[in-house]
Amino acid sequence: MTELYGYVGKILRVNLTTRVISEFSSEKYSPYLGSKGMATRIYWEEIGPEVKPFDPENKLIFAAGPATGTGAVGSTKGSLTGKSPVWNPVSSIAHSTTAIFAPALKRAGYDALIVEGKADLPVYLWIANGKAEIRDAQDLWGKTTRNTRALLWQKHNKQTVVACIGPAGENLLLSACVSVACNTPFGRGGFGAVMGSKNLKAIAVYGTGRIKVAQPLKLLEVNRDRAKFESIKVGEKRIVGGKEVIGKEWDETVACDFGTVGTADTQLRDLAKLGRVRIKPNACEACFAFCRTRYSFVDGSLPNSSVKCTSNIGWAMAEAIADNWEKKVLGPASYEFAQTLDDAGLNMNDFCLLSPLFGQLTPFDENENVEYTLLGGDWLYQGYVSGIFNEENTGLPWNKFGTKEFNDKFLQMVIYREGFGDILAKGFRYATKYIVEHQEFGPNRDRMLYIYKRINSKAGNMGCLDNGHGQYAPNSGRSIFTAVGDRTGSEPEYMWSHHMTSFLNETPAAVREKWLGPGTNKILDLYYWGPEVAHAVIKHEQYSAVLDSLHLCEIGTMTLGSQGLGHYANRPVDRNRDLIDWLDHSPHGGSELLSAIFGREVTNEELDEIGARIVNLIRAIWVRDGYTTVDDPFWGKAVDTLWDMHFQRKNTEGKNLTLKSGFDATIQDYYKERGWVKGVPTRATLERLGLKDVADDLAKRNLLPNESWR
Amino acid sequence: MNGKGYTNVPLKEGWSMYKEKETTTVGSVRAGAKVGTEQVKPKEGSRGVKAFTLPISVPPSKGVLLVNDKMCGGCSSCVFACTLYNDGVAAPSISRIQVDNIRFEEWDATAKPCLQCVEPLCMRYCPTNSIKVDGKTGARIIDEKACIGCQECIKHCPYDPPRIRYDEVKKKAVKCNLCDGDPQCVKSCPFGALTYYTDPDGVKTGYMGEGTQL
Repeated sequence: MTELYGYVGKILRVNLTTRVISEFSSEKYSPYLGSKGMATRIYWEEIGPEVKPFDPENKLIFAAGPATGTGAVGSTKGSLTGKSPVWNPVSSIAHSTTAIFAPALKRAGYDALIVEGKADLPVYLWIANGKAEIRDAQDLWGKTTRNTRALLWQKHNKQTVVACIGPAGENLLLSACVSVACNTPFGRGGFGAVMGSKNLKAIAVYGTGRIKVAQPLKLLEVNRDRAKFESIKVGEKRIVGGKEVIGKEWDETVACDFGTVGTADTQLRDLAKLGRVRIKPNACEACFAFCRTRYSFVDGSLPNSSVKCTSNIGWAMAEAIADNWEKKVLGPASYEFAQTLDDAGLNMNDFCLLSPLFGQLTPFDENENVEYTLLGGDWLYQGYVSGIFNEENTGLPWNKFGTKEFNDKFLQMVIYREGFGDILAKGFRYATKYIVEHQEFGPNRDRMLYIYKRINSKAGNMGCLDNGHGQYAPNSGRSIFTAVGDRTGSEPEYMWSHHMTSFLNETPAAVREKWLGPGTNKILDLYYWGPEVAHAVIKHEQYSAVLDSLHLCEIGTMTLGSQGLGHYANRPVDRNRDLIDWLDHSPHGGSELLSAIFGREVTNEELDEIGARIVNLIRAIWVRDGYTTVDDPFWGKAVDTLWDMHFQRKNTEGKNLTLKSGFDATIQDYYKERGWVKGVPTRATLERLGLKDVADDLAKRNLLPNESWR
Repeated sequence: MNGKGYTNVPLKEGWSMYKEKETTTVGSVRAGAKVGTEQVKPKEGSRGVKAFTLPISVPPSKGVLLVNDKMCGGCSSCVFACTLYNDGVAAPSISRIQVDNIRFEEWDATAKPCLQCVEPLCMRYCPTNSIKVDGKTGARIIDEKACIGCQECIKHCPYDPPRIRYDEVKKKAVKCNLCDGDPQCVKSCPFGALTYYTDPDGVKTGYMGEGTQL
């Protein structure tokens, strides 16, 4: 028997209806790497278009990649896949990723876990070192995520990783997530609600197993190369990466460059200076990016937590509005609001951003030239300032927007589905449609659709996966990526512009051409349309798919790694890190790490092809689930495009941000390079990627492009 | 502490090191308690730990791993460096440096290395005398051949989590040996929060070395 490196070799299947627990080999999924790729294949094989998101036949597929848990830089992540209720009227595959859970699953002996069926009473799964049991969870039902974790730690041990839902998931809120740790959820896709529909409260995993690595010393070497730091004494000046950096005292940088709040001058930072709050960096397993910040209130008035960008900035703007901008943003009230959301098990991108973060406070004027776009938070706030929402039709105390009173009332209504909260609980697409169709929202209610479209730019019957990252940025690459991609949140510009300007050894232009192909420097012109843009988008999609399948965190690998100097320059205490060499060798992330793990040469080309396979398979699933065929009376049937309004927006100089003609031509370039016709992969494309059975299936359903399509 | 790190690591619940007052109920040492160079051993029969004498007197370790807890974000890079280097696998459960990075809501999530105690209880309680002092680094190391896997050393490690781990595959205890003077965890820390502190005359840390200023 050959030694298994990276993988642990088994997949666990738990049927909650029949209570049968079984195992099977994960070997046949190796052409899809693992995590997202593996789960996509399982989805293709097991979840058909007839299955509805809340049916017992829908499955929750938790999967880890070959890099997960090996200690490779950023290898803490895993994915959760299933049919998402968020996308409607066409429900299809969605992936959500988070830290902590997948490494534990692997240490417990499984590359993936498939949960299917529906329990008759609340249960939780207990998985410990190769054994799984379905246990009663009636005493856990109704508990917050924090309390559920605490109770299960008590019941088992404190090294148990608990993925659980809070009241939001139990009440089938479409914004419910599966919480794994403090501010660490499988956020997108509404899988908390799917878990709730299965009466599954939690999955507790305890594993002490080991993951084999072919060349452990090589892996260590690659890791170190990627997480170099440079130590600078306090007060010392040094040129790092062409920039002068001064070593600072901890107190000067407190709060500070740790986490994604960056150097924000916040109330919490002031409290830290007064000694009332303790702040320190926090990272997930095996990651140097430290995108989190750990907070602790000395007097214990608020619970400790480890926060990320969203959980930090969440309600900050609303708080500022309530204070008439008199205080600094991000005080204890915002912090508390975010913690409440986390305890309830709500997707922060949807709910924490329900205040206008970058948007505007007055009803926006359609003719004004703005380069920014609206975010999720604006949905609620614009609805209010546009005169659609009032106290009467929502039951919310709008004159107290941004205060704790408003927050509490709002969350109570949403989580327990009272009145207006019940409409929101069904998701923003549903709510938008409901508001437009109901007279009590007044004569302006049509505008709600406009607001929705401004936020969720992808047109048609699926839309964007979440309210927070559905935004559209004013450039050609992002437009194409948003129109075709399944992965909201992995913004390509980071890789293209930020990132590739932070290399020392080669010029950014050379690096960009090296990884994205000749001519790709043209993509830096935000108004350029052409095949180079399509090509760069394709490379980025495949790169993201590979990262999500390995599974390496895209924050460490792309976003923060990319911003390198910008983000870390003024960093901590008496040291500064030098990240410029990071990713010098392969923006495609994993090839070196994977070579060390597998003990054989893994090339970027190989990974790129796997990426293409995954992207095509996801597209095939979308097609099978009705993406290209369903024509919804409200949302229409647009495929791979943006809502019309996005082609009319202009920049401050009056120039079109997204040009309709350019977009249409470039999307054809995209299809051509992909080997798709009208958004559907051709038989030749699928067969080239080893997906013949997929092509056969689509042909049988008469969904494959044929002569009559021309 | 000169910013080098801390040495005041709290002992396990119910364990004590110094008798501060005759009447004090024995518990973990109060944080920041002033402890002089004079070390008072617990009376025989006091709760928490038995009075003991080592079979042999051992010289203090010449090196120790220090953690700057302000900078340690609990990323576990050290954990993986430890087992990838020493065991060739990724296995946090047998890492000689422990990080509890699962419970994000807990404040104390820093790396927890073996402190190479001045009076190593692991050595004291090993029935086969298989824990020895390394001549080069002064680390208290396990002689794998002699170890019978009884886990007495783990039970008697005064710290939580125990810094000695049990390797289920080898059926032996594993312990920090300071990587023969080149600690891999220190090299892998992406933040520079770990320091390998050495002193040819010996560093007094860990059990019975608590409170020593480095």
